[in-house]
Amino acid sequence: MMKKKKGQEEIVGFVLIVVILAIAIVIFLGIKLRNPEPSQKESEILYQFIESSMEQTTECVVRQNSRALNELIKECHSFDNNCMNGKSSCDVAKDTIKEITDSAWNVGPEYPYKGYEILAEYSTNSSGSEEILFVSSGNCANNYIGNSYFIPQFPGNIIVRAKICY
Amino acid sequence: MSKGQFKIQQMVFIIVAIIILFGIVSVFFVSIRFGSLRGDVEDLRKDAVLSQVRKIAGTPEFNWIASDDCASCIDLDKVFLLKERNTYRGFWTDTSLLRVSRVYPLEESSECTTENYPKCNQITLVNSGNFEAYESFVSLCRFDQELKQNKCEIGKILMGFDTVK
Repeated sequence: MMKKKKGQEEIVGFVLIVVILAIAIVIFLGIKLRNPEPSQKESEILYQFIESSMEQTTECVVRQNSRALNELIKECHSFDNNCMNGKSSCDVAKDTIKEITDSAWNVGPEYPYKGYEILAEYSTNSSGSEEILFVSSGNCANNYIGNSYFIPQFPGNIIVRAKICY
Repeated sequence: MSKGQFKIQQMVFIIVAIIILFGIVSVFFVSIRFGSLRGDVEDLRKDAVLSQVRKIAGTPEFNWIASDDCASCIDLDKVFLLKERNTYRGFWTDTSLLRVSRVYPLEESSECTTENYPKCNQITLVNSGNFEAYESFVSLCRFDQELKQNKCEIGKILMGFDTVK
């Protein structure tokens, strides 16, 4: 009788170990699947998109010359010029980025891409980074493709970062 | 079998059972981790093809020479003239589709002709057979008569390659 009871205790112990392990695995998997870590994939097509859109001729005319988008972003950072149509270079840059991105990528809850974020910031080695403009649409929560494009602006660089979220 | 030996045997069984359990969990975990590798390889291959598609923008038939520092710019007037040239028929033998299209701003007409150019959205140089198409963003540049200056707009190059039948 005594021997049988001891055997039962050992089986209960073994089952307990297995149950504890199983619970630990379920909790681990639950946390892992519920809160997936944001992951970025560097995308060639996104780099090509930013590079090409920086050459876009905008509606902003300054001194009889229509400005390209990269020139407008530079002006928006250094001195916010007014275009001949009365709009500021920052506003035209923002509007142009939004219109181009909306035309190039179908973004929304019903599409594979759920949202986008485009940030232009000025960065130097000495004084960190300073936001120039930010354009976003839709929902950008977890996974995204992203890339950056550098525009030289002495003594630092303007970095245009784009994220397309899925 | 003595009591001691029996105890050792029990312990061995438990250790083996725990190792098997950990083994199963590890295999499950590794299979999930490596499952995403296949997707990463696909993405890398796609990026390589996109770079190849983009290289056509640098060929003499397409490139925009008015700007030294624009690798993504193509000369839209040149591309339109290529469409009209009979000598370029059969020039791009490896591709089943070669099309340049406007992304923003879009015009009303679709295919460019001598009547509607430049107020049109696409120039098709090659279009034949079954193909798998890849697209790459470029800048479509030309001299604008209204603005009296060079004008660039965002567009795409589409290239289609024969699919295996």
